[in-house]
Amino acid sequence: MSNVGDREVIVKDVHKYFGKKHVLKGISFHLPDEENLAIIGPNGSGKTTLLRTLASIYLPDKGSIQIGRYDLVTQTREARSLLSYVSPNLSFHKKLTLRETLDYFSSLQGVSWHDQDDLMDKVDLSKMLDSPIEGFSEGQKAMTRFVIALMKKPKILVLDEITATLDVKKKESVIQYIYDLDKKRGLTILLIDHDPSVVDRLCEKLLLMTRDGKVMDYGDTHEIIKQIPYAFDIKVVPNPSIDVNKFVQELGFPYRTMGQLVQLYAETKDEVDEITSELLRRKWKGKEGQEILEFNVSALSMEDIYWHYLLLLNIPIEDRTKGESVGKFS
Amino acid sequence: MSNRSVAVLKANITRNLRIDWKYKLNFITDLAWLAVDVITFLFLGQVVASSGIENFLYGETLKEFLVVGVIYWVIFTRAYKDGVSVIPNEAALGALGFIITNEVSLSDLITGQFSSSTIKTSITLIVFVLPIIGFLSFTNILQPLKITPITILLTLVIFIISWVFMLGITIIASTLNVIFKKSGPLTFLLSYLLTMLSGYFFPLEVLRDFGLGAIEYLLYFIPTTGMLYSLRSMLIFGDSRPLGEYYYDFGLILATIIIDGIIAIIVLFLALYVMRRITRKAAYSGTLEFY
Repeated sequence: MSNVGDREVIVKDVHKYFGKKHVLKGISFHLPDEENLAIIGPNGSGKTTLLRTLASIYLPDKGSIQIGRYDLVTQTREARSLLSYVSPNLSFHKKLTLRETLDYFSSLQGVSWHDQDDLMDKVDLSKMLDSPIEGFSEGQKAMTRFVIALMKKPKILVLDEITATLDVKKKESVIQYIYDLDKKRGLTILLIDHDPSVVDRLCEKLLLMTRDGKVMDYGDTHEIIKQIPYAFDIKVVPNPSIDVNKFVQELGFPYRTMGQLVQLYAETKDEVDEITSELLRRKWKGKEGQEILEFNVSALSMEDIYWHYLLLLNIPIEDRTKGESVGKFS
Repeated sequence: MSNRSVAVLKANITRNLRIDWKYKLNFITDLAWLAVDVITFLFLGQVVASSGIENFLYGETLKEFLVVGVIYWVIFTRAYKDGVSVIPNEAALGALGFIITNEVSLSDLITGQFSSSTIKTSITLIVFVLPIIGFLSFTNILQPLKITPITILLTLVIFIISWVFMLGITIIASTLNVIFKKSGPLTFLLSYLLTMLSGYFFPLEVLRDFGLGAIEYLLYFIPTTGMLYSLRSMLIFGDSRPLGEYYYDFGLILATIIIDGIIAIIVLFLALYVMRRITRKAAYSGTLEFY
């Protein structure tokens, strides 16, 4: 135990039950000092439960979690002193000003918030100190949560989708700040995030979970992501009257079907342009011949990477999933 | 109490008072509620006193009996109501995860809320209600209360013991919130039961007339009952009461204060222990985060 670093996380055969529901089934991994981990998996795989268990909001029913030198169950207080948990659900009293809010949360942690002036300047919160929270955008609230989490200078940072509500500029500021902080202080970061660019930049390790709460794979993030050639996905809702299989084969791009929804994958922006031109043509063929109802383009999410990775591992997706997630790749 | 607990307590009291200050309408509503209570009981007392019921226990002092009861309970009912709302309110703010992972005790949060509510209501009483009671006494609508240095001191002790006991009850009621979630009606019932059993609406001595004297004596072991009885006796009748079988003196009041004081402290420590156990258990069952 004495050789374990302050920022090391060792998880051995962790099980978590909620009533009769067995949510986590024997999770094990070892995250070395100062390495960062992203947890990915489909909805209902238990990734949020695992993150919250690592943050000590839940305690494991079986197995052990070591945070630094401390056992999470028997030395909970000491383990908690090392970590900070940032949840997207944390909201604030709307009538209080930012200053009053920071005063309160810093007092709860027994620290000062004035050390965070640099971050506050970077994310434009300094000028909002005397403004009531009720006037804040979702992005500003997300930044406030982040400032609060960093007040106690944690060694381990547990981030639950913190960039979800941020615009591109703020997301970049936050990620760069965490990245610099990580390099400067040598943090260990445990996170869930849907954005592959966030995961790829911050996390060396990736933990992939199965739908039934087990570890499917644990490996190097960059190695896993670089195996997925796609950068964009185009979600398409076809006209129910058409033959979906024929439709996707005619398009000739990699795809996945989920019930009536079709997801097409593109490697470059040129490919996205090509696909969207074709989709627009088919959408406006006229009322009788309209093949698709709607579509939208987005960057590839961690869920997409997860599904592609299953394919690379030759894991039969239909066996791993149920209901809405059943799909197949071209 | 650790330095950390003191800091959490201070932070909570400050935050709650700041929030209360920003919702002035709630303050006015509380004041109106209290005014309606006082006026209603004044009328009720006057009606009973002037109805000529003979040998009624408090006779012509029923108005004072009821008004002292209102003033006593107004502090604790508001603090209790605010205190049991702490966990649901923090859950609604999504703050429980933050609170748990920062080792902030839920009991400290509840104590902070209970304290700020007590401060708020006490200021209301001192600034708005007591001058009116003084005016009513001056104009003989109310019989002047027996205010002496010793009754002031004992009144303070009585409020402290009652505060400790009600804080314990608030923390215990809050554990119901952790276990059962929507336990609002249950916590309301608990507070109403304590109010009733304290003799809020009628003198408990009348139980003897129904052959329930033993129950009356047992009820005095509930600190809010014993303390309200002592407070009323002291403020209405002074240092002793020459009423035959209802006779009491300061000795009896002091004995009640000591016994109920010990009970109040035991209840508070028990509550703190139960809350710590329940919070720990909730980390396994997930009941706090599932709010």
